[in-house]
Amino acid sequence: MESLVGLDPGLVLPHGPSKLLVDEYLWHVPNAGIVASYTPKERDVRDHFGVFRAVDQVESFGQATAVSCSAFLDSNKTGIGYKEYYKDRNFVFMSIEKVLCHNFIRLNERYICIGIITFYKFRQIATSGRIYKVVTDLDLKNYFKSFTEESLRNFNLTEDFVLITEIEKVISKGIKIEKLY
Amino acid sequence: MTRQEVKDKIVEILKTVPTLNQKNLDNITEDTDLITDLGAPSTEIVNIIAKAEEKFGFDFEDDDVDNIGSTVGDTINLILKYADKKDEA
Repeated sequence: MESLVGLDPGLVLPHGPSKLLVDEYLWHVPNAGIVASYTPKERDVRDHFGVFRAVDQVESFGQATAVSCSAFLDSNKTGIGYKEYYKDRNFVFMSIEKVLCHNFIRLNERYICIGIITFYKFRQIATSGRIYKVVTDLDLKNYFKSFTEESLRNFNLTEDFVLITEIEKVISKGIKIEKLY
Repeated sequence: MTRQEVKDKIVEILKTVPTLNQKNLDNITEDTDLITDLGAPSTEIVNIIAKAEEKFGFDFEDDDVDNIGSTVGDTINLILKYADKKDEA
């Protein structure tokens, strides 16, 4: 498997359906970074004025970038499929350095997470990046076919995207389940 | 390579890690804990091990690093394990 594009995030990530905050992988270069999309559902904005919480944006970013990229790299290295992998291991959210929220996301508003891998070693990963709302009915799959690593590093996007949040240094680590308790 | 030689090199590494309490580096023992005694964030352990890997010229297995503790002695043991493997090869 060369990348996560085309795979169901529900198969790659360990989260159950009500906590899964990634709909689709749009672009992925394993040692560089990833772009993934999500659209908040009713359950995501319940009791919160129809607005998707900033804390859930961070969780979504962590799932889309740190956990997804790390799961891909370790699964490929060990040769173990995701389902089997999660029998012994899981990922913990260890830290985040900075979050800057510029705007917000409402119910049914589509957004993308763009994550750059800044460190990966011994199953610990650090990613930084941005969340952009998609403000047109752009075909995201088609749009990201021409995306490059340079586009990723420079956040080169068209006016179809509006900056929502900047996120620096999310750190996640893959650990044995026995160490979780 | 003796334990003391490894320890001295580890102290050299620790001096380059800005998140550590540098005042406590003068009295390092094998029991010194990087987190509780030197104030390292838990995320820093992997960075320190990565620096040790580079300094000593080994390629540590992920599983070995998974199981490592947070004392200086734990890091010395990891390095000596790989030094022994190299000697055997």
